[in-house]
Amino acid sequence: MKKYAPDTLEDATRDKLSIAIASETAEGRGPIWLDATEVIDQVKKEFPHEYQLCKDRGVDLAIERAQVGPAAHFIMGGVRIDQDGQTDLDGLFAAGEVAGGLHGGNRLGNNALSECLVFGARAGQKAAAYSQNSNNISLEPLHLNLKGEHRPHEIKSEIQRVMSDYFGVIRTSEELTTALSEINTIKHKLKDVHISSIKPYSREIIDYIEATHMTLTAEAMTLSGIHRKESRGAHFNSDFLEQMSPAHHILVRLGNNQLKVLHKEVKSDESSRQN
Amino acid sequence: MNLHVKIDRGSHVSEYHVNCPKVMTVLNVLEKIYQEHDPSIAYRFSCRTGLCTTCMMMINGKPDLSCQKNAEAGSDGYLTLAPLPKGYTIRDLVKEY
Repeated sequence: MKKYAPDTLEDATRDKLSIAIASETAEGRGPIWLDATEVIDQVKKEFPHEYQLCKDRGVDLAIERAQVGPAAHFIMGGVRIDQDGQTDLDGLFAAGEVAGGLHGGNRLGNNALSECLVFGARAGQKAAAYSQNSNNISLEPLHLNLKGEHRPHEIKSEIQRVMSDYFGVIRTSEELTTALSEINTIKHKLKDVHISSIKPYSREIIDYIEATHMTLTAEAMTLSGIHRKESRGAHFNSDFLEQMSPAHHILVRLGNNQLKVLHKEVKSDESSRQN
Repeated sequence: MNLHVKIDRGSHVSEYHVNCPKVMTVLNVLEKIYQEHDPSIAYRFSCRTGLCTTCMMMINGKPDLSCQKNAEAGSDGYLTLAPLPKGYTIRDLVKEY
């Protein structure tokens, strides 16, 4: 890690660590190994679950190295909320990983839990108060052509493949454009799905709903990535290595089945929301 | 390796012969059954790392996490799966919380 984070080495933040591993692998110096033997007592004490998981899979970190690579672990973006978890949609509250913006370009370890505790409580209190003065909202039933061609779990796999191939740790502008094009192809497949079971807890229905959300989320992420012409935190575009100043949010809004992108400067006090 | 799987679905038991080319977790075997044999099978999971317990079920007669337990046949030659015994079973392996 001397090359990538000379001061902090392996204690670098996870965005830098992931970029380092992906760079070494991309340049043909992989695979990358984790050697925890010198600090194994600390690992056993602070990461007992991970230590046991490796051991159960045949790798004893006390005496041997483990091959490692970065994986998608957390999404920093998400639904825009105010300080009480209220979204722009009246009566819709969000908290935790589904909400965006709290962590900036890179989340620090353990902050997701405190985010859930603080914003979960705030959103819950506000939602409970809101429900005292509101009527139930009825949702439109899902109308599906069940006799189409594509199985929902296959569509999910395709989205995972596209995002892994073109929206990974190291990105290029060309890859982002390719991702968007492939997501558009996948969107059409969602209108032509094959579902054989509509019983309660049908995995096919769950997979269809998840595939729909994954496609929309992937499209919003890719569009945001294309519009962010810089590298910042976990977004590392090798065509734009520098950070832009001032920092700005990229907001994506859905209307009339189209995603619209807005840029908004990051301010220290964002209690008022204009967009 | 061919694994013979029995799943207790309340009103009946379904049997599957699943090809497992490598060591797989019980959840991976269920995914294979859903994708390749029977899309109607109902089961739940969430974290896949042994933390949330959403995927807990009876595996060869003992409660365990399907995302962590390696798929192996019991003494009768079958991998036997059933919902947890207590509480209401919504369908197949899905319990009401």
